Amino acid sequence: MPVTVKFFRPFRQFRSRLLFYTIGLLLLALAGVVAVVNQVFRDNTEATIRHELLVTERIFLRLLSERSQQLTQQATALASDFAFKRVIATQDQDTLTSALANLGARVQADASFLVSIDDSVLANSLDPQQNGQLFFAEELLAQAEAEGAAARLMLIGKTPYQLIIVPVLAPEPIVWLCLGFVIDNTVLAQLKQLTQVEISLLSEQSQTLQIQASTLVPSPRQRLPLFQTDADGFFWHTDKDLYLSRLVVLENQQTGKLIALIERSWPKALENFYRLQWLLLMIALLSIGLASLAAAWLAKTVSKPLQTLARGAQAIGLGNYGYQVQIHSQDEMGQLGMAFNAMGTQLLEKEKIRTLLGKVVSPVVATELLSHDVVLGGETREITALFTDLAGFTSIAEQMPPQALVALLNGYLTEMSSQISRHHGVLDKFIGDAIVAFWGAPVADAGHAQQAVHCALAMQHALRDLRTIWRQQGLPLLSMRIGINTGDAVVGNIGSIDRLDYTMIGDTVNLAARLEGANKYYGSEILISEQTYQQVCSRFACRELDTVRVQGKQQHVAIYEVIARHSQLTPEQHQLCLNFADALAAFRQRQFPQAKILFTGLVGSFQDKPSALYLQRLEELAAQEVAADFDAVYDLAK
Amino acid sequence: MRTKAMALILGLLLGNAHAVTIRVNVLDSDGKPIGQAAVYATPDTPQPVARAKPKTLIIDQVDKEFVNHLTIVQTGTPVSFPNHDKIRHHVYSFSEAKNFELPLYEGTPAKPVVFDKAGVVTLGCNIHDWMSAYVLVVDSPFFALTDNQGAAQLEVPAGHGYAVSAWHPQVKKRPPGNAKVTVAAGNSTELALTLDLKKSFRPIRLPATANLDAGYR
Repeated sequence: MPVTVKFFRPFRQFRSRLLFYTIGLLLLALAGVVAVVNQVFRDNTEATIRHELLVTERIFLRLLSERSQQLTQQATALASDFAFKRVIATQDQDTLTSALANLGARVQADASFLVSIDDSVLANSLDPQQNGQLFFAEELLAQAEAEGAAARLMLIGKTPYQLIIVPVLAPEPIVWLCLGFVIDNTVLAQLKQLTQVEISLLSEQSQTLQIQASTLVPSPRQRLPLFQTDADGFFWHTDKDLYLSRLVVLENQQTGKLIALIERSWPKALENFYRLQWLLLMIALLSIGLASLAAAWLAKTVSKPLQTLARGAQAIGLGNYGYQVQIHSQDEMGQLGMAFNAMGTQLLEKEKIRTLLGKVVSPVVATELLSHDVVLGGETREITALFTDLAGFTSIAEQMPPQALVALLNGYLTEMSSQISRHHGVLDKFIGDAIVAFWGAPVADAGHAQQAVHCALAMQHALRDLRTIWRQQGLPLLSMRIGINTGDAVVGNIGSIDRLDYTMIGDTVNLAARLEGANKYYGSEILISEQTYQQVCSRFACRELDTVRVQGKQQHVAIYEVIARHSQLTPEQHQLCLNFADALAAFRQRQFPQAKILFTGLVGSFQDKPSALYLQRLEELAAQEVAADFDAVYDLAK
Repeated sequence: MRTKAMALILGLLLGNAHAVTIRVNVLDSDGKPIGQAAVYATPDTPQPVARAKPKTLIIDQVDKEFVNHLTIVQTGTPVSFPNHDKIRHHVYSFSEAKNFELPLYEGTPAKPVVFDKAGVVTLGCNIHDWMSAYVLVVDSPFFALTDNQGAAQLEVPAGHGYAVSAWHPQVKKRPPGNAKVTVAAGNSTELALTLDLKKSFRPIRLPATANLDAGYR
């Protein structure tokens, strides 16, 4: 058994489809918005931070220089201490060292040096070994000599200091006072407070970059690569954070470089953006929710009337034209509903007409009429016309109460018309107790003559059943005469434009009517013309009764009585037919004695009424001289 | 040799009878004249000590400044520092040639300060940083200050050799460049000395407009 896998199952329901597309489009739009906002925000943030870092760098340098100035002023004030000058004058090493330590402590200096005018260290707080040696920062001394004071960031050993050199004036320089302030995390923390950025101080000595101090906690020890010092801001990772940073070379000396790293936390900078993202997400969820509700509502408003309409269409398909859909909206759906209901009403109307038409006219004609535009006019067709009449009805009608009469008649007509319908005939009209019907129009039917004859036999059979009922009810037993003729006739919608019948006219019709009436004369029940006989003789047993002269026609017409279907012909009937044919032949050959014997025999054996008619004719012929041109043709009785 | 010495002493004793003039021009490294520079000539032969008690010199303090800025004295000269301001001054020096202090005083101190050692003595006032003055103590009676054209004249006994030196408070190296000259009688000598000066930095005096009008100036 083959297994089929459906990769894509289209939505069955309109609602799901609408929901899918609405939410899909919304998501697409939202994703686009978020992507654009994200990009723009990040770009902006980065550009802003780069710019801010540039500004911060200036502020940072400015702060450093201000701090230098401040420290210089402090050092200058210290250097004016007269007692200290006196100590210097004593040139006592221990006193000098002690006084220097005291002096440094006043401004919380981390290192202090006293340097002679000829650049040798007189006293210092770090290393007594240095006393008497050349001061390590000769450049700075030269600068102080030239400018009156000097300040610089420097590494002493491996520690970064802010060094301040001022002269001790008495009143001209007698020694240089050098104070050093370590730049540590505390200092950077103060700077961070002012600049609002993370700051790290790095030293670079013989290609080794080392972090000296940092506001980052904990200090990112090992992860700093060597950067291009002119880099216009760059990203770098600590263990846990990403920073957008900027390198500022503070001092570039032979002994080493001092570099400040100004850092802005990237995630912190994006905090606002994350808040915005949350907001966007909430808005997105809200709008998706609302859109879903709206889509569901919309789908409902669309699909519900559609379902209603579908039910309506189903009902109408089943023929329930009276079905009315209930759509109360004012929009296109409402219009559709109204149109649908109007259509139903219209169909109902039409159906009523069709039903009525089926009752008034034959269903076949009704269908034909409804399927085409109804126009006045006709066409010549070969048809078979059938006329019936109830023998002696008129006299009965005068004796019966009207209701009983109508009931009797309705029962009779209902039965007969149903036989006609059953045999696909077209019931043209009722004329009192008479019925007019035809075959071969409007729907062409090659077997119209056979159908008509078959129907006539069936009608007689039905009448026999009816008579059984009538007998039980004590009603008069009526017999029926039928005349059938086949030939060309004009069929079509005949009448006025307001009121018309689908009917037939022509000699063919007249002859059929005349044949119906002629039954009375011959004592027969079903009379058919020669034309009909030609078409039905293969199936129905008939006997020729006479040859008649039809008014307005040159040709004589043989007329036949229908006996039965060949298959149902009884031996007696067969015998009757054979004997009657012999008798008729004798009559026509003017062997009247012979004919008289034969007809008399038939009347005796079968109480045959036509034979009785012929005996009468023989008597008439015996009473007068037989004309020389006797052709055994009679005028058709009216 | 002995006769020479005798002649010098004689000459000195006899006044300027045999005196000659040494004209000294003091220029800076750019060849511009330096005014208010000290010029002194030290005879090759040591000076005889025999002389009268030297006269006391005066360095005034007027309007919170020393007057004069540069004073040249011969070794052993007493200098008095009379204070003409209404406020006290605290004159001091930590120089090797003379380390002294005149703690906050008014008027003229009781004792003058005797500059008994040759060298530069830098004077300051402990309570007025900008106040400074120099006393150049020399072992010679022959000294002078240059005028604004950088010129000075030294009247010295003729017939002796002298080391002529120049000095200025802003001179870069100590001792400054000097020159040896021998002056013959009747021949005045002219020589040029070059001093390399540096920028001086002294504490800047508070401006007169400073909000200290309560008798500050």
